[in-house]
Amino acid sequence: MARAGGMTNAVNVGIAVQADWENREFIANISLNIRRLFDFLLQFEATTKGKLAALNEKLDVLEHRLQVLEVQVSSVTTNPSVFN
Amino acid sequence: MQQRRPENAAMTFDEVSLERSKGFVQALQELKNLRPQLYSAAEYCEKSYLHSEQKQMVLDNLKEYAVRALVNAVDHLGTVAYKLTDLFEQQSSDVSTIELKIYCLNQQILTCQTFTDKEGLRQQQLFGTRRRHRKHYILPNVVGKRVESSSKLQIANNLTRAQSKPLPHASGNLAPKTLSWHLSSESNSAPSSEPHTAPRVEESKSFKVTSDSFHLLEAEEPTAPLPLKSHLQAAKGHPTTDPASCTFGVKDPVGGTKTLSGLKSFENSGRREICPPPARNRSILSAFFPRNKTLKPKRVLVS
Repeated sequence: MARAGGMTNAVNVGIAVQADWENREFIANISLNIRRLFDFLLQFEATTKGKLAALNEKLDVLEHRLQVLEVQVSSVTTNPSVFN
Repeated sequence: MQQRRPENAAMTFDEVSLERSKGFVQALQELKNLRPQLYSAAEYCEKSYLHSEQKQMVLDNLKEYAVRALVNAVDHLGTVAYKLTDLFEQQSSDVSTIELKIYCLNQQILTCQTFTDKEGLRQQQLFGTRRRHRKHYILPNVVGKRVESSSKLQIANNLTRAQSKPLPHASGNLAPKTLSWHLSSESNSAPSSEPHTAPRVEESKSFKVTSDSFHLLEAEEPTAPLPLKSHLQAAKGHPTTDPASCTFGVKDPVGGTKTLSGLKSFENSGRREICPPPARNRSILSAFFPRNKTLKPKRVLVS
């Protein structure tokens, strides 16, 4: 009887350990995927920042060019006799 | 109708951009809403595991919910990233379109500027082609005109200056368009008159001058014309004035027949006085090629 009890206890411990290992594996998978999601977010943020910075710079250049064109056109409109 | 179409097109373009931005905002809002949902689900599972007797079932449910929540979060993040990328691409295409339009405007303005510059240059060149010759270098029109006294004064002053100043031109070849050249071209056919005759200003057509023996200075300074009397006196040999030496640098003639007979008197004159700058009215050649009508032939003996 005592042997049977011991056997059952050992089996229970084995099952528990196995379940524990499964839980730990599950938790490890979840955490790994969350870390991969986090890495994706970081990478996405870096690329988006770079693209937005380039777009901003492009817009600044276009704005300056527009200002120059505006000045040129205004000078033409104020002095039309030059082109007559 | 046509005006409405571009308006509708503009509206649709704005609507499309508005919808895209709305979709992005909505996806972002849903992602933000996931956080309280996940927090509430975590609290519920904790309480149920603590208070419930069937803990294994709670654990299994919790595992499934965690997997689904993670998938849902990944899905929402992917949607937000996709919509943000789409919006960014749209904006970048709009910016590139605007850039092209700005380049077109710039090119148009550059074209206008180059056109105006070319037109201005052309007009300036046209104006530049007008060569303004000094009056006393204008030849054909002046020949036969009435000789004025002022022109003779100018001749006298030029002659004195020519002898006082160094000659800038060594030979007539360096300045082919000088007065000597014109004179030589004009008087090719006319033979030279007697070299020892008196200077006959009125009979200048008989003179034959070559470019070798006759060099002219460019009269840059205005010279006042001398009266006829002074010119004749100089021709006689009076040391008052030397009009021929004002402007003409005369070399020793190699062939005596080919020089101005009138200038010999000037060469022989001992005194050369610097004449005051006369007023410039007529060309020098008008003194040599005056009208026959106005002037009477006079003979001046040369000593």
